[in-house]
Amino acid sequence: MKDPKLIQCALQRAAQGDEKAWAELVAWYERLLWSVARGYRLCQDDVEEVCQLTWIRLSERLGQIREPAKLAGWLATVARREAMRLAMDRNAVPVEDTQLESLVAEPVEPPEFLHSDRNRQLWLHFHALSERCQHVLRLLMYSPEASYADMGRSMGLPVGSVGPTKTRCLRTLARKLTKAEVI
Amino acid sequence: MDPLLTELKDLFSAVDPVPAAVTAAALNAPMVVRRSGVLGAKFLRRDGAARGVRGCGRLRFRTADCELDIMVDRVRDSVSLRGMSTVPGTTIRACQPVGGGTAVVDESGQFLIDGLRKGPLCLVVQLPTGSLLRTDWWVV
Repeated sequence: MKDPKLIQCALQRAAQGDEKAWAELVAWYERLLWSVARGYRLCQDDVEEVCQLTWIRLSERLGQIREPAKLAGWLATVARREAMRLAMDRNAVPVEDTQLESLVAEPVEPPEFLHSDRNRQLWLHFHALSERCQHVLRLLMYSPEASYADMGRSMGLPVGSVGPTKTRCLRTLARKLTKAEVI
Repeated sequence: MDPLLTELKDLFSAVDPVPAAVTAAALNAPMVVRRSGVLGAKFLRRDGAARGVRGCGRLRFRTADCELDIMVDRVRDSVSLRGMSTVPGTTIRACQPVGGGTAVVDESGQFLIDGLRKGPLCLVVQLPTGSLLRTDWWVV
Protein backbone atom coordinates (compact mmCIF):
# COMPACT_ATOMS: atom_id res chain seq x y z
CA MET A 1 0.00 0.00 0.00
CA LYS A 2 1.42 3.36 -1.00
CA ASP A 3 1.76 6.08 1.59
CA PRO A 4 -0.37 9.12 0.61
CA LYS A 5 2.54 11.37 1.64
CA LEU A 6 4.74 9.58 -0.86
CA ILE A 7 2.12 10.08 -3.58
CA GLN A 8 1.69 13.74 -2.66
CA CYS A 9 5.43 14.28 -2.80
CA ALA A 10 5.64 12.64 -6.25
CA LEU A 11 2.71 14.72 -7.50
CA GLN A 12 4.27 17.95 -6.28
CA ARG A 13 7.66 17.14 -7.77
CA ALA A 14 6.11 16.04 -11.06
CA ALA A 15 4.12 19.29 -11.20
CA GLN A 16 7.44 21.12 -10.96
CA GLY A 17 8.75 19.18 -13.95
CA ASP A 18 10.64 16.43 -12.11
CA GLU A 19 10.77 13.59 -14.66
CA LYS A 20 11.86 11.04 -12.07
CA ALA A 21 8.79 11.78 -9.94
CA TRP A 22 6.54 11.43 -13.00
CA ALA A 23 8.22 8.10 -13.80
CA GLU A 24 7.44 6.93 -10.26
CA LEU A 25 3.76 7.76 -10.73
CA VAL A 26 3.75 5.90 -14.05
CA ALA A 27 5.39 2.86 -12.46
CA TRP A 28 2.88 2.84 -9.59
CA TYR A 29 -0.27 3.13 -11.66
CA GLU A 30 0.34 2.00 -15.25
CA ARG A 31 -0.72 -1.54 -14.46
CA LEU A 32 -3.98 -0.27 -12.97
CA LEU A 33 -4.79 1.85 -16.05
CA TRP A 34 -3.91 -0.93 -18.45
CA SER A 35 -6.06 -3.36 -16.55
CA VAL A 36 -9.06 -1.03 -16.36
CA ALA A 37 -8.89 -0.11 -20.07
CA ARG A 38 -8.55 -3.81 -20.96
CA GLY A 39 -11.98 -4.47 -19.51
CA TYR A 40 -13.83 -2.96 -22.48
CA ARG A 41 -14.51 -3.96 -26.06
CA LEU A 42 -11.48 -2.19 -27.46
CA CYS A 43 -8.67 -3.31 -29.72
CA GLN A 44 -5.13 -3.17 -28.35
CA ASP A 45 -4.40 0.16 -30.13
CA ASP A 46 -7.41 1.76 -28.47
CA VAL A 47 -6.50 0.38 -25.05
CA GLU A 48 -3.07 1.97 -25.50
CA GLU A 49 -4.70 5.27 -26.47
CA VAL A 50 -6.98 5.26 -23.43
CA CYS A 51 -3.91 4.82 -21.22
CA GLN A 52 -2.04 7.61 -22.98
CA LEU A 53 -5.04 9.93 -22.77
CA THR A 54 -5.40 9.26 -19.05
CA TRP A 55 -1.75 10.11 -18.43
CA ILE A 56 -2.12 13.31 -20.47
CA ARG A 57 -5.12 14.30 -18.37
CA LEU A 58 -3.22 13.65 -15.16
CA SER A 59 -0.28 15.64 -16.47
CA GLU A 60 -2.58 18.62 -17.06
CA ARG A 61 -4.02 18.41 -13.55
CA LEU A 62 -0.95 17.63 -11.47
CA GLY A 63 -1.17 20.85 -9.52
CA GLN A 64 -4.89 20.49 -8.86
CA ILE A 65 -4.98 17.13 -7.05
CA ARG A 66 -5.54 17.96 -3.39
CA GLU A 67 -6.12 14.47 -2.03
CA PRO A 68 -3.30 12.15 -3.15
CA ALA A 69 -4.92 9.15 -1.48
CA LYS A 70 -7.66 9.44 -4.10
CA LEU A 71 -5.30 9.40 -7.07
CA ALA A 72 -5.80 5.69 -7.86
CA GLY A 73 -9.57 6.11 -7.84
CA TRP A 74 -9.33 9.23 -10.01
CA LEU A 75 -7.10 7.52 -12.57
CA ALA A 76 -9.35 4.46 -12.68
CA THR A 77 -12.41 6.65 -13.16
CA VAL A 78 -10.83 8.60 -16.02
CA ALA A 79 -9.57 5.44 -17.75
CA ARG A 80 -12.91 3.72 -17.36
CA ARG A 81 -14.95 6.63 -18.69
CA GLU A 82 -12.59 7.18 -21.62
CA ALA A 83 -12.61 3.48 -22.47
CA MET A 84 -16.41 3.48 -22.45
CA ARG A 85 -16.58 6.69 -24.45
CA LEU A 86 -14.11 5.39 -27.02
CA ALA A 87 -16.00 2.10 -27.31
CA MET A 88 -19.12 4.15 -28.00
CA ASP A 89 -17.31 6.48 -30.41
CA ARG A 90 -15.86 3.57 -32.35
CA ASN A 91 -19.36 2.31 -32.88
CA ALA A 92 -20.64 5.88 -33.26
CA VAL A 93 -23.82 5.13 -31.36
CA PRO A 94 -25.59 8.15 -29.94
CA VAL A 95 -25.57 7.76 -26.16
CA GLU A 96 -26.20 9.64 -23.00
CA ASP A 97 -23.83 9.35 -20.04
CA THR A 98 -26.41 7.31 -18.16
CA GLN A 99 -26.25 4.66 -20.90
CA LEU A 100 -22.51 4.18 -20.52
CA GLU A 101 -23.15 1.90 -17.55
CA SER A 102 -24.82 -0.63 -19.80
CA LEU A 103 -21.68 -1.33 -21.81
CA VAL A 104 -20.26 -4.57 -20.51
CA ALA A 105 -17.16 -6.46 -21.40
CA GLU A 106 -17.61 -9.58 -23.49
CA PRO A 107 -16.03 -12.87 -22.44
CA VAL A 108 -12.44 -13.00 -23.61
CA GLU A 109 -10.85 -16.22 -24.83
CA PRO A 110 -7.81 -17.17 -22.77
CA PRO A 111 -4.47 -16.73 -24.56
CA GLU A 112 -3.32 -19.89 -26.34
CA PHE A 113 -0.09 -19.99 -24.39
CA LEU A 114 -1.98 -20.24 -21.11
CA HIS A 115 -1.43 -23.95 -20.57
CA SER A 116 -2.39 -24.42 -16.93
CA ASP A 117 -6.03 -25.45 -16.63
CA ARG A 118 -6.33 -23.53 -13.39
CA ASN A 119 -5.12 -20.32 -15.05
CA ARG A 120 -7.37 -20.81 -18.09
CA GLN A 121 -10.39 -21.27 -15.84
CA LEU A 122 -9.43 -18.27 -13.75
CA TRP A 123 -9.06 -16.14 -16.89
CA LEU A 124 -12.35 -17.34 -18.39
CA HIS A 125 -14.41 -16.96 -15.23
CA PHE A 126 -12.96 -13.56 -14.42
CA HIS A 127 -13.92 -12.28 -17.89
CA ALA A 128 -17.39 -13.80 -17.52
CA LEU A 129 -18.05 -11.63 -14.45
CA SER A 130 -20.09 -8.44 -14.85
CA GLU A 131 -18.28 -5.28 -15.90
CA ARG A 132 -18.81 -3.92 -12.39
CA CYS A 133 -17.30 -6.99 -10.74
CA GLN A 134 -14.31 -6.93 -13.07
CA HIS A 135 -13.78 -3.25 -12.36
CA VAL A 136 -13.89 -3.60 -8.58
CA LEU A 137 -11.55 -6.60 -8.63
CA ARG A 138 -9.09 -4.80 -10.94
CA LEU A 139 -9.08 -1.83 -8.56
CA LEU A 140 -8.45 -4.11 -5.60
CA MET A 141 -5.64 -5.91 -7.43
CA TYR A 142 -3.72 -2.87 -8.56
CA SER A 143 -4.60 -0.10 -6.14
CA PRO A 144 -5.36 -1.68 -2.78
CA GLU A 145 -4.73 1.72 -1.20
CA ALA A 146 -7.86 3.18 -2.86
CA SER A 147 -10.59 3.76 -0.30
CA TYR A 148 -14.07 2.36 -0.71
CA ALA A 149 -15.23 5.95 -1.25
CA ASP A 150 -12.86 6.32 -4.25
CA MET A 151 -13.84 2.95 -5.62
CA GLY A 152 -17.50 3.83 -5.27
CA ARG A 153 -16.95 7.10 -7.11
CA SER A 154 -15.13 5.39 -9.95
CA MET A 155 -17.95 2.87 -10.35
CA GLY A 156 -20.92 5.10 -9.66
CA LEU A 157 -21.74 3.09 -6.54
CA PRO A 158 -22.69 4.30 -3.04
CA VAL A 159 -19.74 3.83 -0.69
CA GLY A 160 -21.75 1.36 1.39
CA SER A 161 -22.15 -0.94 -1.62
CA VAL A 162 -18.46 -1.36 -2.41
CA GLY A 163 -17.62 -3.85 0.34
CA PRO A 164 -20.64 -6.08 -0.35
CA THR A 165 -19.95 -5.85 -4.11
CA LYS A 166 -16.35 -6.93 -3.59
CA THR A 167 -17.45 -9.85 -1.40
CA ARG A 168 -20.15 -10.91 -3.83
CA CYS A 169 -17.80 -10.75 -6.83
CA LEU A 170 -15.09 -12.77 -5.12
CA ARG A 171 -17.65 -15.34 -3.95
CA THR A 172 -19.10 -15.57 -7.46
CA LEU A 173 -15.66 -16.14 -8.95
CA ALA A 174 -14.76 -18.71 -6.30
CA ARG A 175 -18.08 -20.52 -6.83
CA LYS A 176 -17.55 -20.68 -10.59
CA LEU A 177 -14.07 -22.02 -10.09
CA THR A 178 -15.39 -24.59 -7.64
CA LYS A 179 -18.01 -25.68 -10.17
CA ALA A 180 -15.25 -26.11 -12.69
CA GLU A 181 -13.54 -28.25 -10.04
CA VAL A 182 -10.36 -26.30 -10.07
CA ILE A 183 -10.33 -25.18 -6.45
CA MET B 1 -5.05 -9.26 -0.03
CA ASP B 2 -7.49 -12.11 -0.70
CA PRO B 3 -5.57 -15.15 -2.06
CA LEU B 4 -7.83 -15.27 -5.12
CA LEU B 5 -7.03 -11.61 -5.88
CA THR B 6 -3.32 -12.31 -5.50
CA GLU B 7 -3.64 -15.22 -7.90
CA LEU B 8 -5.52 -13.04 -10.41
CA LYS B 9 -2.93 -10.27 -10.08
CA ASP B 10 -0.08 -12.70 -10.75
CA LEU B 11 -1.92 -14.19 -13.71
CA PHE B 12 -2.66 -10.82 -15.34
CA SER B 13 0.88 -9.57 -14.77
CA ALA B 14 2.26 -12.66 -16.51
CA VAL B 15 -0.26 -13.00 -19.32
CA ASP B 16 -1.09 -9.38 -20.11
CA PRO B 17 1.90 -7.18 -19.29
CA VAL B 18 1.84 -3.45 -20.03
CA PRO B 19 3.54 -3.02 -23.44
CA ALA B 20 6.76 -1.00 -23.47
CA ALA B 21 5.21 1.47 -25.94
CA VAL B 22 2.46 2.25 -23.42
CA THR B 23 5.02 3.00 -20.72
CA ALA B 24 6.99 5.17 -23.14
CA ALA B 25 3.85 7.13 -24.08
CA ALA B 26 2.98 7.58 -20.40
CA LEU B 27 6.45 8.91 -19.63
CA ASN B 28 6.10 11.34 -22.54
CA ALA B 29 2.72 12.77 -21.43
CA PRO B 30 4.05 15.87 -19.61
CA MET B 31 6.05 16.78 -22.72
CA VAL B 32 2.93 16.43 -24.89
CA VAL B 33 1.02 18.80 -22.61
CA ARG B 34 3.85 21.35 -22.47
CA ARG B 35 4.24 21.31 -26.24
CA SER B 36 0.51 21.78 -26.86
CA GLY B 37 0.54 25.04 -24.89
CA VAL B 38 -3.07 24.57 -23.83
CA LEU B 39 -2.77 25.17 -20.11
CA GLY B 40 -4.78 28.18 -19.04
CA ALA B 41 -6.96 28.35 -22.17
CA LYS B 42 -10.73 28.51 -21.70
CA PHE B 43 -12.56 25.24 -22.34
CA LEU B 44 -14.86 24.49 -25.25
CA ARG B 45 -17.42 22.07 -23.83
CA ARG B 46 -18.08 18.87 -25.75
CA ASP B 47 -21.76 18.08 -26.35
CA GLY B 48 -22.43 14.36 -25.98
CA ALA B 49 -20.70 11.44 -27.67
CA ALA B 50 -19.82 10.96 -31.33
CA ARG B 51 -22.72 10.44 -33.70
CA GLY B 52 -22.59 8.80 -37.10
CA VAL B 53 -21.50 5.53 -38.62
CA ARG B 54 -18.41 3.42 -37.95
CA GLY B 55 -15.20 5.19 -38.94
CA CYS B 56 -16.88 8.58 -39.09
CA GLY B 57 -18.06 10.47 -36.03
CA ARG B 58 -19.57 13.89 -35.50
CA LEU B 59 -18.66 16.03 -32.51
CA ARG B 60 -19.79 19.41 -31.29
CA PHE B 61 -17.96 21.81 -28.97
CA ARG B 62 -19.22 25.13 -27.70
CA THR B 63 -18.68 28.15 -25.50
CA ALA B 64 -20.46 31.49 -25.49
CA ASP B 65 -17.81 32.75 -27.95
CA CYS B 66 -17.63 29.95 -30.47
CA GLU B 67 -19.16 26.69 -31.64
CA LEU B 68 -17.41 23.94 -33.56
CA ASP B 69 -19.17 21.16 -35.41
CA ILE B 70 -16.66 18.54 -36.47
CA MET B 71 -16.81 15.43 -38.63
CA VAL B 72 -14.03 12.97 -37.81
CA ASP B 73 -13.11 10.72 -40.75
CA ARG B 74 -10.88 7.73 -40.16
CA VAL B 75 -9.36 5.88 -43.07
CA ARG B 76 -7.04 3.16 -41.81
CA ASP B 77 -4.59 5.01 -39.54
CA SER B 78 -5.18 8.46 -41.05
CA VAL B 79 -7.66 10.89 -39.52
CA SER B 80 -9.13 14.10 -40.87
CA LEU B 81 -11.29 16.71 -39.19
CA ARG B 82 -13.76 18.53 -41.41
CA GLY B 83 -15.78 21.13 -39.64
CA MET B 84 -17.78 24.30 -39.30
CA SER B 85 -17.12 27.18 -36.93
CA THR B 86 -19.38 30.07 -36.05
CA VAL B 87 -16.36 32.41 -36.21
CA PRO B 88 -14.63 32.78 -39.63
CA GLY B 89 -10.96 33.68 -39.44
CA THR B 90 -10.41 31.46 -36.39
CA THR B 91 -7.19 29.46 -36.34
CA ILE B 92 -7.65 25.85 -35.23
CA ARG B 93 -4.66 23.77 -34.20
CA ALA B 94 -4.94 20.01 -33.68
CA CYS B 95 -2.39 18.92 -31.05
CA GLN B 96 -1.31 15.28 -30.88
CA PRO B 97 1.50 13.44 -29.08
CA VAL B 98 3.13 13.04 -32.50
CA GLY B 99 2.26 15.28 -35.44
CA GLY B 100 -0.85 17.46 -35.54
CA GLY B 101 -2.09 20.12 -37.96
CA THR B 102 -3.49 23.62 -38.32
CA ALA B 103 -6.29 25.23 -40.34
CA VAL B 104 -7.90 28.65 -40.63
CA VAL B 105 -11.70 28.80 -40.78
CA ASP B 106 -12.69 30.25 -44.17
CA GLU B 107 -15.31 32.91 -44.89
CA SER B 108 -18.04 30.30 -45.15
CA GLY B 109 -17.14 28.96 -41.71
CA GLN B 110 -15.51 25.74 -42.92
CA PHE B 111 -12.16 24.19 -42.13
CA LEU B 112 -10.26 20.96 -42.83
CA ILE B 113 -7.33 19.42 -40.98
CA ASP B 114 -6.08 16.18 -42.47
CA GLY B 115 -3.08 13.90 -42.15
CA LEU B 116 -3.69 13.37 -38.43
CA ARG B 117 -2.97 10.10 -36.63
CA LYS B 118 -5.22 7.86 -34.61
CA GLY B 119 -4.78 8.66 -30.94
CA PRO B 120 -5.25 11.45 -28.38
CA LEU B 121 -6.06 14.86 -29.79
CA CYS B 122 -6.85 18.31 -28.43
CA LEU B 123 -7.96 21.36 -30.42
CA VAL B 124 -6.59 24.80 -29.62
CA VAL B 125 -8.72 27.56 -31.06
CA GLN B 126 -7.49 31.12 -31.48
CA LEU B 127 -10.30 33.56 -32.27
CA PRO B 128 -9.63 36.62 -34.48
CA THR B 129 -9.83 38.67 -31.26
CA GLY B 130 -6.80 36.75 -29.95
CA SER B 131 -8.77 34.81 -27.32
CA LEU B 132 -7.50 31.28 -26.82
CA LEU B 133 -9.93 28.39 -26.37
CA ARG B 134 -9.31 24.67 -26.16
CA THR B 135 -11.12 21.36 -26.13
CA ASP B 136 -10.36 18.61 -23.67
CA TRP B 137 -8.25 15.75 -24.97
CA TRP B 138 -10.11 12.91 -26.64
CA VAL B 139 -9.16 9.94 -28.77
CA VAL B 140 -9.75 10.00 -32.54
